[in-house]
Amino acid sequence: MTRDNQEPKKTNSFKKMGLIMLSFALFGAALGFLTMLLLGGRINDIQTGMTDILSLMQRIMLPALLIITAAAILLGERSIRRLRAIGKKIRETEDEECDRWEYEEEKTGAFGVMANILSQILCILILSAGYSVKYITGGNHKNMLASCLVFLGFYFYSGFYQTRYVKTIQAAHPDQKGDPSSMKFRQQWLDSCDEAQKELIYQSAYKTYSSINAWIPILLVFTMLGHLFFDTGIMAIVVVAVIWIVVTGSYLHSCVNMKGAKLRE
Amino acid sequence: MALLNYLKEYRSRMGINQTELGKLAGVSRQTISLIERGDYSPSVTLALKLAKICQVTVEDIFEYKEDEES
Repeated sequence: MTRDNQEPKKTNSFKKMGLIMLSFALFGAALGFLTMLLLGGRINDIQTGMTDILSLMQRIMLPALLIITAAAILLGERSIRRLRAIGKKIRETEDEECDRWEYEEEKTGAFGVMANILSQILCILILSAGYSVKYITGGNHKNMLASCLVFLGFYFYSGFYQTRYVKTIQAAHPDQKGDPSSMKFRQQWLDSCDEAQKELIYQSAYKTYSSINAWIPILLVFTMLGHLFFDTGIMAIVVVAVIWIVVTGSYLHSCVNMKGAKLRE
Repeated sequence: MALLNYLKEYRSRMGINQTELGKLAGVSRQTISLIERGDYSPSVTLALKLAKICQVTVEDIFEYKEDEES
């Protein structure tokens, strides 16, 4: 038998899975051991350092929020302006040229949305540094109140940005329906898509589900190690665990529901 | 690629663009573009609709070719 004719070597899935799990367990043990070895005597120093970082964040909270909000608004407006120009090109061009503009539209839209979401997350993280009764009653309530107002302003801008983004896309693609202010917007949008567009959405949704399932165990280990060494509390662990349960539960519920619906038809 | 298609040729013969063909078939321009590029295999319903619009059979537009490896 020549090498080309050889059947592919059969793998034992249970053995492979056992080895993968064992290697992850060994990696976790090595990581724990190394962390203990490297940071064991310095845990107090690290905790002091983290407290210093937190207090620095509390001091720079207001200017940092202002800078991030200004940058996000600039990027958002630039993205909307560019999307409008691209939408005009989409309406004016045909076939292959239109394909290129639609790709540009996808890229510009993704950049704008990502910049907006990242800015929101950064603002939440910075605001969280001072978001405690202990800090507010410590005489810094004016700074905190001003920061909350800046954050609220940005929160409203983000809501309007997302609405304008959807309207701009709908102006270039009138077939895409859905009222962005409606609670049923996602369903309305999906209903207005044709079969190829739906397939793209389903594929992207499955990739997102796979990616979340790959990241959640890593985040869970990270939060557990944080609690083990730095006493960060179990809240972070509970939140990650709840997200895991909700994501898996929603996926399985949807699968069972769809199969059931097909049987009931 | 297992599914070849000649949709672009038939569309050109009809003298219409992707948007117009999409409107006739009740799908978006992007879907027609994806089919023409071979990036999307349409459902049986859409394939039949496209064949009806082009006034040919489905087999005239779409051709299934076995992969050489298989």
